[in-house]
Amino acid sequence: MEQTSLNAIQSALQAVAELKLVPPLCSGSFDGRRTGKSSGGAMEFADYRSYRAGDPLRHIDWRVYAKSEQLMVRNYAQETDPRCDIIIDCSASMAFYNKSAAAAGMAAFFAQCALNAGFSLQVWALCDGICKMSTPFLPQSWELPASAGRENPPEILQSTPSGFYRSGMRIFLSDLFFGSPPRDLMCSLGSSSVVIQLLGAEELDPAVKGEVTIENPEDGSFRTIAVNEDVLRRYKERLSNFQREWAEYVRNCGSRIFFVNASELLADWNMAEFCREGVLQ
Amino acid sequence: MIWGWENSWYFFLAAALPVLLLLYWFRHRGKRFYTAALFLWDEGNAESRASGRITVQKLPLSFFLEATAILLLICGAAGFFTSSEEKFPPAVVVLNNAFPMKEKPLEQGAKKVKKYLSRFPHRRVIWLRCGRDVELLSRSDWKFDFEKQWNADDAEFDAGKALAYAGKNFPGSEVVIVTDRIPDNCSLKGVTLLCSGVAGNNLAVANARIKGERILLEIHSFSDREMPAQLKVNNRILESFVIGKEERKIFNFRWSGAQKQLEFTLESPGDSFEYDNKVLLLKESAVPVTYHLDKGLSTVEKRLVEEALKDNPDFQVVSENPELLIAPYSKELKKRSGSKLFFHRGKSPRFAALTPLFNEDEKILTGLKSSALKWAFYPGVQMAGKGVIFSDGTPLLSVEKYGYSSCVFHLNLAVEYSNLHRLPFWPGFFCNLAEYCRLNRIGPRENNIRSGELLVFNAARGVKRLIWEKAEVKGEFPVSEGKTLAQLKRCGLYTLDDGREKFRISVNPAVSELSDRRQCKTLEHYAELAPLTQGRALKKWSQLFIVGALLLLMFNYCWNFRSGK
Repeated sequence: MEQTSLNAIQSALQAVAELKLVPPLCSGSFDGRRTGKSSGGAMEFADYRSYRAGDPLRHIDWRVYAKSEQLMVRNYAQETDPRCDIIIDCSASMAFYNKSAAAAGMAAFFAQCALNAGFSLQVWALCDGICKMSTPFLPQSWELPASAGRENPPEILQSTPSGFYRSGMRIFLSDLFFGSPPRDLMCSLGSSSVVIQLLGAEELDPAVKGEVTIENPEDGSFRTIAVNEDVLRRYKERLSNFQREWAEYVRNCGSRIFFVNASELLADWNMAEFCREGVLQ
Repeated sequence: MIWGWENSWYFFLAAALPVLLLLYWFRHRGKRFYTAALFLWDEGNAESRASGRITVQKLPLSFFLEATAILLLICGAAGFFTSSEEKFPPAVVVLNNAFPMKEKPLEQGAKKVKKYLSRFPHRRVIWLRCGRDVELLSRSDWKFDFEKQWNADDAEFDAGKALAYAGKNFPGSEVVIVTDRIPDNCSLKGVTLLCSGVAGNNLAVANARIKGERILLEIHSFSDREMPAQLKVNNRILESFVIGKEERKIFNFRWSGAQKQLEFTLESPGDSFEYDNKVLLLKESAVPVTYHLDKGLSTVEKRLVEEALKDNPDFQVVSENPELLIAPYSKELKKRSGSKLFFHRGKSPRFAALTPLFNEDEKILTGLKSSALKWAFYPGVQMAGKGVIFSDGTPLLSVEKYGYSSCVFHLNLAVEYSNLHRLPFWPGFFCNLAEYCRLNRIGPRENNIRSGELLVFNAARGVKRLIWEKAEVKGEFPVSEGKTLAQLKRCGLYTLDDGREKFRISVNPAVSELSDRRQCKTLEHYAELAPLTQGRALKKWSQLFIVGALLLLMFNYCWNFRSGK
């Protein structure tokens, strides 16, 4: 593993403290696709949520409907043996602007939080294939590949039989710049997912001017453009639209999405937003 | 049509293009930004997939615009020209460079020739400047700035030479002579004559000579009537007089003052041309020749030589480093520097049976007579050098050029038995000897010469060139075998520098019949142009290329400005 990633893991583990990972909310089952084997005290009612098209009718709480004439669905949280898969994108684009270090650090952070919360954990790396870390709860000994993968992560997830937990939350760490629509990724991750986009400060606000060659390290394509204020403005608009599109889709899938500045994260490990959104407690 | 380049070596500058290419390539390579989100950026100039090691960079439009602009500028500087068939034969313009053309005739002549040539656009014009000799000034462009090279300072105008030159080098061309009068002694058939002379009466200082302290001044009147005149020296009136119609007046003066130069000016109210009214004379150096009598001379020889030299202002006795050493002949003394007069000795002197024969061409014998000479000599004496006085085949006096600027005179004379010292021959010989030594001195032989006369300069050992300077114009003459022979055509005061010492000489106008301005005319005579002949007129396109380059650069600037660079 690269030294910067190791340093990031160490600093992330120091910042974890007593934070715990929160089990995901699900409607009647872990991910809404089948009933869990455990019953009774294994599932705890957690919350109501609005009915969405596609939800099974048996999950609708008719008593709430009778009272309020609003279709509401019950959310249950699993009390025991929560599971989590952390998937780290190790494609070539992650090698720039400290994104791979931030991804490794964040994965270590969540791994420690998962340990604190008693989760079962699996950690995966996507780099021209999928590989599983043998010691998920020992981030310092993870053998993360160097960020040099050229394959598209959604394609890897679709083409490779995943060993993910059948129920549980999945945390996906990537820059999401793999050219596929959000649908391709979300159908592999499922609804109880947390998608975290890590971007470098230079990608959020590029400090380039003049004749610049912009190169995609994953496929080697490049283009030369004259960068000025207008060009930068258009880039930021497109990035904002891109993030908005991902946020809409992911949230519509019942998952959560976060946009993180990798440089700022490495500096202070401020996970307040995750606590606010209920990912951590 | 023929096309070509006047300065083709400018194309070496085209080597700047690969450098430009490299600069652009490095510049483009310099800034790289890595991101997988290429789709978030604007479309650029180049997009390629790096399937191999080599990637081809697409260059922006501004590169090609600037490269094209550079090429156009190079073409402009290289002087692209096309040559099309001429409608008229080429014109050979002969400019009269003699001094009477100065001022008004030159100005008017220039106007006339410009006006004449403007009637035949795109015509090839060859420019000749003619004085004593013909000089080719330019052969390509009718807009050539000939006025800058038309000095009108020559002493004469040989139109015949100019016509012969034009006929030989530019056959079939029209000859245009720009002058102030109709040239004589040459055929003007087929010649266009543009005369811009101003007729009038003229007085001229025709001759000015200086010898020692004596000055001779000759004034000519080229006038049909009497003219009053004043002669001034250094702006002080020397003499007022009236000179008759076509009269020649001679003045003799003595240079007694301490001035180093005298400027004579002739003024007359009816004088139409002032250039030939001035003469500047420098004092000729009349430093006595230093001599030394060797102690080896006999008493009689010493006494007789001293008698000849002691009251002679041309000589001054010194004890060391003399210009002239007078001694009995010896090989050791011959090796010394400076000139020598050797008395050769022998046995049994006898008289020359016949009157000694003089080689009268020799300067050492100028003004000397051989009559009544009784010359006793030593038979069998061998003398080096060229004999100048003989008796029965035996040289009695010989001259030998020895060393760098010295002469050796060998005298076979038993002086005590001869009568030379009692005749005018003896002092006259030593005067000539002094003159001979002066001629060999380092520096110009004369400080005053006339335009076109030969300047003779004796150079010191080791001097390879002589630099001349007049006003702000400089030039140089080579030195060959210790001498420089050159012509200074332009009148005025010159400074000569051989690297060790500076000398001044004055070149005065050589007044000739050209000062007679009564022959001057204003007329135009046009020859019939010959039918179309072979020949081509040049058309230059440099300006077009340069304008094109500027337009491209402006377009490039506007393009970049528009695209926000």
